Order: sequence, then structure tokens, then C-alpha cells
Amino acid sequence: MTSVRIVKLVKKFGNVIAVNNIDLEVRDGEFMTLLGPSGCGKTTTLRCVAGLEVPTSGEIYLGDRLVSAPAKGIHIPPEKRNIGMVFQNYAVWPHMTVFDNVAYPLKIRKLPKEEIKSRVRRVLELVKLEGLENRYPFQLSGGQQQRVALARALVMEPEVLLLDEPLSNLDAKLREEMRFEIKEIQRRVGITVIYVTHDQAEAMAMSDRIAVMNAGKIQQVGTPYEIYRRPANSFVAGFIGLANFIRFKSLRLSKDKAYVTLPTGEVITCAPPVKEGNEYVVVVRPSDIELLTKPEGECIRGVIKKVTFLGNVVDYRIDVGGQEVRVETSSYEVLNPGSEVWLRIKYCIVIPLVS
Amino acid sequence: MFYLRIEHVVWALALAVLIVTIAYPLAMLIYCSVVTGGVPTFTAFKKMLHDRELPIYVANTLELAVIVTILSILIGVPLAWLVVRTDLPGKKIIRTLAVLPFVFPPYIEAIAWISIADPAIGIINRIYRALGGHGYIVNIYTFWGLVLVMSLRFYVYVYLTTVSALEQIDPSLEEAARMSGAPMLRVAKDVTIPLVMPSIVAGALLAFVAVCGNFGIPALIGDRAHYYVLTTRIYSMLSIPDLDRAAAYSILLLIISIPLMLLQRMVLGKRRYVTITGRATRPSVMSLGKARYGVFATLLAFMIPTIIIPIVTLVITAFMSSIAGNMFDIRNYTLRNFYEVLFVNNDTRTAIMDSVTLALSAATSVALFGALVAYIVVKTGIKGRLVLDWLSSVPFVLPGMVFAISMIFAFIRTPLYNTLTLVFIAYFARYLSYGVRTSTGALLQIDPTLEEAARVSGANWLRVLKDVVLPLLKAGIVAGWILVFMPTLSELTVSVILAPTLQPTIGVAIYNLMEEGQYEWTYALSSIVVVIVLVGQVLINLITKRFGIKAM
Repeated sequence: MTSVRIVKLVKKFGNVIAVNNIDLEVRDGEFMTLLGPSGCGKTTTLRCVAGLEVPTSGEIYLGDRLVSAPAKGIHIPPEKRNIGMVFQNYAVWPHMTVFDNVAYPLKIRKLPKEEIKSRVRRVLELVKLEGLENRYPFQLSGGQQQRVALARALVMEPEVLLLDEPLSNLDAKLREEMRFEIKEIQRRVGITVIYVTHDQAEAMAMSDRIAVMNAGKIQQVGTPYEIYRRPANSFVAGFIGLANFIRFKSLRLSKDKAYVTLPTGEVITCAPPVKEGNEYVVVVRPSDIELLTKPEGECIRGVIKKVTFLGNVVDYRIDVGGQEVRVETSSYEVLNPGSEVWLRIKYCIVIPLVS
Repeated sequence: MFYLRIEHVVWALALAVLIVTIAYPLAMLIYCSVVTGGVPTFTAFKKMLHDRELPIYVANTLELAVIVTILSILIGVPLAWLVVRTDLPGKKIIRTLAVLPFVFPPYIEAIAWISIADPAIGIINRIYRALGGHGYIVNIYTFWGLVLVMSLRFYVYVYLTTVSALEQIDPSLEEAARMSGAPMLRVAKDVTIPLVMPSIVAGALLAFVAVCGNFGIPALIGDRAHYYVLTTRIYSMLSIPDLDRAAAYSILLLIISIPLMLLQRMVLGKRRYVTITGRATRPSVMSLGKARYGVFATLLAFMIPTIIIPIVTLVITAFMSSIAGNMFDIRNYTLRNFYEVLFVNNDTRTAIMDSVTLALSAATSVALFGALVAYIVVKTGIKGRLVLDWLSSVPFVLPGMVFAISMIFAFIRTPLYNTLTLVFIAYFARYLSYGVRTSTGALLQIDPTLEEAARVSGANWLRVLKDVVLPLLKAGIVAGWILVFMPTLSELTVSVILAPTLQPTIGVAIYNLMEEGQYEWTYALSSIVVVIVLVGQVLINLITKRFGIKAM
């Protein structure tokens, strides 16, 4: 097991900058997720760690070992990095059986036959594929191929496991099941994992920490709680979960509070920004707002414009002094459009704006 | 359900056409080689068994095919790898040059090489003599000359199948091997080669069968090298005429070709590709380092003399007023040959008229009938629809000469025999699969929901056909038309057997002029073919690009 350290990594394809000067440290045994929209550079970053892409500049360390440093002319080829990798489309070799697929990394390392057999058996047990050794990939379901790919990546007991959107080709139910299984396997093996996905629920469910990426840069690194509750900027707030961006007239920051004056003159109290910025936005999650039928404590007045019943929750669009605010409440009680309501904001945060 | 009945009538008519033009002739070929005067005498086969020369011709054919196939693999596979999997510069140029031999008819390639290395008129020998040498230093009329010309054409089969296989491999299959610890060469051995192998074998089998069935190159080069193969022997038997023997030899050619074609399909069918479409990654490309420009230059150094220069020499030769004259004297060059061929010589003028008429009618009928067959196969549920697909694909996989012979047996007792109409029927049947393929491809792209959406919008099936299916099918029909027009315009193998003596096609006219030693006219007419073929190829590229479909 080992840590991964990425220092000032840049990767250009021609004139396109895919990865723009990122720093990231993945701790020993940590489950780190690179999360971001497609084209944000997360897969390119992962492929640089794998050695499949040669960085334009920057350095990558596996533990103490410097594996990529173009400035020093260092580029350890992927086969010498001892990294396991699972690809988005599984990349299970169609001309080899399950056993041959999984045994391949061990055959390359010239292990004795008996040991290969027992290790393949153990890892197939781990991914729950016992008994399918002699099948060919075309005889397997998508989920089973996924497990073969996982077994093949784990069999050589690599220092780091890289997963590139491994669940995106599975159907929704299987995807949820595999999330927990991958997480469970990681916990049992204790391996360092870098996981790439654009699915926030996946990232939330599995990760120790998440690195949110956009446009080739890391926007924030933190635990799922920090990412959701204390987003570092408006991109992170908007990308993870639902968010209302509230327009305001003025803002006063104290040490541990932020007082926001709305265009209507009403004042709400929010959490102060995590980082300083030139411009700020106020973010309120729809589920952090309570709807009251009578004013009570610090609250703001609004009129319900639209009501959507979603089963577990009700989604309201509420007009608050000319701006629309989205509110999600438990569906126990449903209010009618046109009703006057008072919004009590349980939690809101002021964050720096990024363009 | 009125339209279902129409569908069935159309299906029956289409089947009737295919039976008359394809099934019946082939049945007659087999019948006539077995039965004489109503009793199964096997005369043809008995003659064949007592034919002392037969083993020689079979051995020659196989020897030639084996050597050409091996060379095709040796040229085609590395070239495909360089073009797809390395950072070779100028890939577009190399790719274009690599398939160029394929756009010309084989006999044009032969004639081009004759203009390079004929002992008397070949440009190399002329230069040699101009430099003070005597006689000649190279002679195309040898076994190895034959091998050279054939390899330089038929390697394209192996090259193309390998290129497409290499392009189809999901790069992550190779990356997974590298992540497993395998170095580059090991990845090639364990992953890339096993995955590409079926396609290489399939391409090699195609090349093998094509060499066995080729007539133009062995006729123009092999005969003068006294190296005879089955196709050239069949042709000379027809001029005796000894139809029984021609039939028996044809069947022998079938016995060689059919199992190989079946094997080819089996090999391709065996590929266990699990195609899961992930996001497209750029294929992993190997860096050739500083050697890349050297490799590019080396490729050009091989390809320009073997692919460009023969065709250029062919065209230059067409401008010489006398083939025996001094080619280094500007006064020996003239436009007269073209004038004669286009406006004076009766044979060549007839040939051009005939070929244009034949190609127009063959292309049009194949494109339309092919679309009809494709529609029945793809869009209807008629039980016997696959018979149409299968029957229409048969003539093209058979050697052209064999198919032409079967047309003789089928129509010798009818007024059609010895007419251009029969040539037209043969072209139609032989190239029908082009029309069916392109239209099938276009129709398969039309998702059933597109038609259903139109039905739901209130259109009846005829309206759906007109508003949705036909506009989308147009590209397939146009592509099929051009794909048939080009090769039929310069066709040789079928026409040399079926065209009436006084009504040659362009291919036959060129072949006859060559045999008569009328080199000036041969080269003028050949140059015209070269120009037409090149213009046609540019058109094909433009049209396929515009409609976004792959021609073949």
C-alpha cells in the first residue's frame, strides 16, 4: 500500500489543456474520488497516474517513488508501476477465459503455476465469481465482466487501484449494488484507490475524500460532508446536490457569521465563507428550508408558485420578493399553489463566486 | 392487410429474376459437366482425369496463389500496423497510395507493368539500351514478374482487413495488458495479434481465391512467360471450342474457391468480439521516435516506383506515335493515338459505346433491384427473404470466369447467346451484391422507430416509404450505382468470354489490341480507362463522405 502524490500536473493535447496544474495527495489506504463533469480532466489525470499518458509537466509520486517527471526525463512505463486498473468498458480480453484473464498479470510476473492457481481462486472468491473460471467473456453478463476486470486488477496485489467510471455501463440497480461491493473489497484489502466518476451519488457513497474537478482544475478536496455542506465555491455548490443561489443587496461578515440582506430588506444569518473571494453568492439547499404557514423567528415571506409531488418529497417553487426559490419538504403535508408561506432557513452558506 | 400481398408478389418476382440469372446458370454448369445426351456420363470429368496437363495447371495456379498470398501478408500486415498503430507522418498519403492498385482493373496493372519491364518496350530496358546496353536487363514475362504484379494488387485485401481489425480493437484491451505488467512487445503477442489474426487469415483467404480466379494478369503476363493457370486455360479451351473441358476446369476452380470462401466466413464468424461501446479513446499509438521520417521515406521509396510510376509510364507510353521509336525524342510524342482510338478506329469506338451502355444499364438495374432486395430482406417479415440475400451474394464470391462459363451453358440455345444483352445479364448478376450490400447498410441504419413515428403521425405505409425510407435509402442507392458503374465500365473477365466478337467491351478491346501488338492504341485506351477510374474514385469519395457511409 502506498500514497499517491500529484504535483503541479499539466497535460496538454495539442493546444487543449486537459489538466491544468493540479496538486493532489491521496493518502495510504484512502478511497479518493475524482468527481466532475465530462471533459473536466479527471480521466486524463487518472491515465497520467497509470502511466498511460505522459504528462506535459509536473511530477507524480507513488509513495517515495517518482514515476513521472517530464522535466527530469522520468517516465516509468505503466507495466512497471504495479498499479491495478479497471476500465470503463471493462477491457476483458475476449480471446481468453475468465481464469486466463485474471491470471495474466501473474503469468507476466512468472509466478509458479500452483501459486497462480490459488491466488486466482482467492481473488475470484473475493469478487464472487467462483466456478466461472472456464467461461469466455461473451458468456458473461456486463456485471460479471466488471468483476473479472476488478479481479484482474487486484490479483497482483497492486499498491494502488485505479477505477475509471467502472459502473457507468451497468444498469441502475446493479450499479448501486456494486458501489457497496467495491467499497467493501477496498476496506478488506486496504488498498489505496483513485476512483473517477461523474456520478455524485456514487462519489458520496464510496469515498473517504472527493476531489471535485472542473475545466482541468481541482475546485475542492474534502470529505463528502465538507463538499456538500461547506462547498468551496459556486461551481462545487451547483455541481453537488441541488442549490438555490440567492440574490442579495448587501453582506456583512463577522468571525463566525454572515448577515445577508435580501433585496426585500429582510436579513438572514448564514455560515461564513470557507475561503475569501472577491464576490460572493449565498447558497441554500432546498432541503434546508422549512415552510411555515405563520411567521415565526427569523423567516422570509414568499408565495407558492408551483407544487410538484415526488413521492418522498414535495418540490415547491416559491416566489420570494421576485426571485424563485426551490424548497423540498417531506410529503407528509402538501401546500397549495398561491398560498402565502414563511421560509425558515435552517442552514445557508456564503461562498466565493467562480465564473 | 393489402400491402402484405403486394410484398409477396414482389418477393416472388425478385426470386424469379435471381433464379433465371443466377441459380439456373450455375445449375446448368454443373448439369452439363455431368450429363451428356440425358445420361450422367461424367464425360467432362473423365476428360479432365485423362488430361495430362491438368495437374500442371492446378499446380501452377496453387503455386502462384500460395506465393502471392504469402507476399500479400508480408506487405499488407506491417503496412497496416504502421498506418494504424504508429505515429508515422504522412499517413493520409500512405493510406491513399496503399489502396490505389485496387481502383484499377487488374489488366491495367499488367499493362502498366509491361510498359515498365517489357524486354522490348519497357522503359527500364529502353534506358538501359540508351545508356549503351544490349538486349534487356529486366523481363516482366517471367514467373516472378507475374508474382510481382499480382502481389502488388492483391495485398490490398490483407492490408484492408488488417487495418479495419486494428482500428476496431478497443485500445483499453491493450492498456489493460500494460497495466497488468506486460511490456509493449508482450502486449502485441498476447492481445493484439490474437485479436487481429482472424482478420489477417480472412484477408489472406480472400487474396488466395482472388488470385486463383484472376484472368487479366495471367493472360497478359503469364501466357508470354509460358506459365499457364486454370483461368487462362479455360479461356483458350473456349476458343477451340471445347466446352466440356472448360466446364470441368471451371468446376475444378469452384472446388478450390468455395471451401476457402466458406472457411473465410467461418474464421470471421469465430471472432468473439465483445463489443461494449465505451467512450472513444484515441488508439494507443507507438512512437517510432526519430525513425519516423526515415520509415516514411522508405515507404515512399517502395510505393512510388511500384504503384505510381507504372501508371505514369502507361500514360506516357500512350502519347508515343510509334512504340518502337525513340522515347527520349520529343518529336515522337503525339495526341494521334487518342484521336484514333476515340474517333477513327471502329473497334475501339464500338467498345467505348458498348461499355458505357452496359455500365449505365448494369449500374442502374443493380442499384434499383438491389434496393428492392435489401428492402424485402431488412424491412419485411417474409419467410423466404433470406434466400434473396443469399442468392444475390453468390455470383460475386465465385471466380468471374466460372460465372461467365455458366452463362454460356444456360443461354447457348437462346437468342441471347452471343449478344450484349447476355453480357448485361451477367454484369447484373455478378455485381448485384454491391447494390444489395449498400442498400442493406443504409436500411439497417433506419431504426424501425423512425417509420413507426411516421405511422403514428398519420402516414400510411406507402407514404412512410416515400417520406422516410426512400430519402434515407438514397445514399445507399447512389453508392451502389457508382460501385457497379466503375468496374463494369472496364470489366474484362466476364466480357472476354461472353461479348460477341464484333462488339467488344473496353476491356476486351484492350486485351485484343495487346494480343495483336497494337501497343499505341492499347496504351491510349488504357490511359482513358485510368483517367475515368481516377475521376470515378474521386466522385465515390465525395459522395460517400457527403452521405456519411462507407462504400465497402
